[in-house]
This record gives sequence, C-alpha cells and structure tokens, in this order.
Amino acid sequence: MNESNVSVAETTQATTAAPTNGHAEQYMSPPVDIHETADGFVLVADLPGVPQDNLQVSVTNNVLTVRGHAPQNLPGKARYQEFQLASVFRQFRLHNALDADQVDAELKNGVLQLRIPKAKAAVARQIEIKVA
Amino acid sequence: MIKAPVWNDIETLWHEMDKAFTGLRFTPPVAGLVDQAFGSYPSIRLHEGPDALYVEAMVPGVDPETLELSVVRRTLTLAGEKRPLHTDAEPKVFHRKERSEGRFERRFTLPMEVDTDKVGAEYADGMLRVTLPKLGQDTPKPISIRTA
Repeated sequence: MNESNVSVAETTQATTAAPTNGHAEQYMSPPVDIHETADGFVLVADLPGVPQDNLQVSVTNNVLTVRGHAPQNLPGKARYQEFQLASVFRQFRLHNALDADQVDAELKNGVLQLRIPKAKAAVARQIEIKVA
Repeated sequence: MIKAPVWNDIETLWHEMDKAFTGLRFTPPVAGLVDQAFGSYPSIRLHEGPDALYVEAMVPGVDPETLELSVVRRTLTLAGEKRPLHTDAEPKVFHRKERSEGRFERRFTLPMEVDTDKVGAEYADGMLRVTLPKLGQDTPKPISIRTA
C-alpha cells in the first residue's frame, strides 16, 4: 500500500508562469499558514493593504493562484520606510484529492482564509469493527 | 597560514555590529526618526505632508479592537495582539507556518512635535494609518514692539 500525502504544495517556477503584465512591477510572496483538518485544508495568508476589489483567487489545472494589489496611497513625501506595498502573488499546486471546485474564500482585516475541502474519496472513513 | 589573533577580534567586532543592527530592515532611520530600539513589529513607514505626518503600520490580522495607540510628546507607541484565526476545531497538522502571532509593542520617536489632541487613526485592510497634524509653530507670530 502506498502512503500518499494529500497536500498543498507550492508550485515551482517551471509549472506556472510568473505574472506578466508588461510592467517591471515588484511582486511579494505573502506569508501563509496551511493546516489540515479532518475534511480539508485551510490556507491563511497575510495580505496587508489589499482591498477585496483588488484580490483575485483562482484555481486552474489544480493550481491555486492568489494575486492582489495594494494601492500606494499614503499622502505626503516618504521620510522613512520599512516596507513598500507591492503586489502579492503566490501559487500552490493542489493535490488531486482536494476538491478545487469547492474552495471557500474570506478576507478580513487584511487576512485571506481559504478552505479547500478534500474530495469525498479522500476523507478518512471510519470502519466499524465487528466483533465476531 | 596561522590566523593572527587580530583577525579574530575583527571577526568578533563584525559579529557584534551585525547583532547591533538586527531589526533595521531597510535603510537606517532618517535623522529625526530615531527608533528607540523598542520593538520591531509592526513594520512602519512615515510620510510627511505640509501640515501633517502620516504613519502607516502593517498589522494584518490584528483585531482593531486590540490596537492601542498613544502619542506623548514626540513618542508614538503602538501595541496590540495578533491572535490565531482558528475559529473552528483545533488544527490537526500544520503544513506551513510562516505567519506570526502574539502581543506586540513598538515605540519610536517622531521627527517633530505634533498636535497630540488632533491625532487621527483609521484601520482598513490590515493597515493602520495615523494622521498626526504638525504643531503650527513654524508660522511666525507677529510680536508688537512697544515704543517708549
């Protein structure tokens, strides 16, 4: 029997093209937490400064793409900066055993939470043991 | 070749310098914005307009209710807590853990005195923006001169 991991692996550059928009725009890879529950995966990403209208979450060929744009609209002249708001872009390859059609997304206080359920066949089924 | 002890000293010094500057991420603070080396989270940026200073802090996932902001003279203090988001059952297995959480406090010095009574703050999309109106001390006050 083969022990297979149902996982949300990050894609490599080879499988997916980096965003091409003709501009030399800087993209930042947002930090994420991924944890597994009994019936799926939960992906949490920090996307500070990205309003809902500027956020796109999509799944194509089992590749989950999170892409967002944070507008730079602080008035005045920059005096000191520890960060620059950039566009965010990150991709993950979803395992076949995840149900990519049922991804649920929620954005609150600059944090995106994605719930990706396992396909029915991949959810562990409790097998009742009969006593003879 | 035998390593002269002086090189060891230089190496130690180099290491000490690195340690001293840990926490400074981009460029050293500009003159006037002297970080008192109290806390390094959240990341901030400071802009200056003709009438006000604008401070923006990156605080994604921080409940605005937990944010505490205060300005005493030129010192701005920002404290709060970033709590985990797990609303339902406890996570079974973590596959990635890149985000941080916990209580934070950061203090830094503003480049000039501001009108502490008129400081405004708003929170949106995980960003806190603080508007600090400058004190109108730069406009010259005409002083009448009495003649004897």
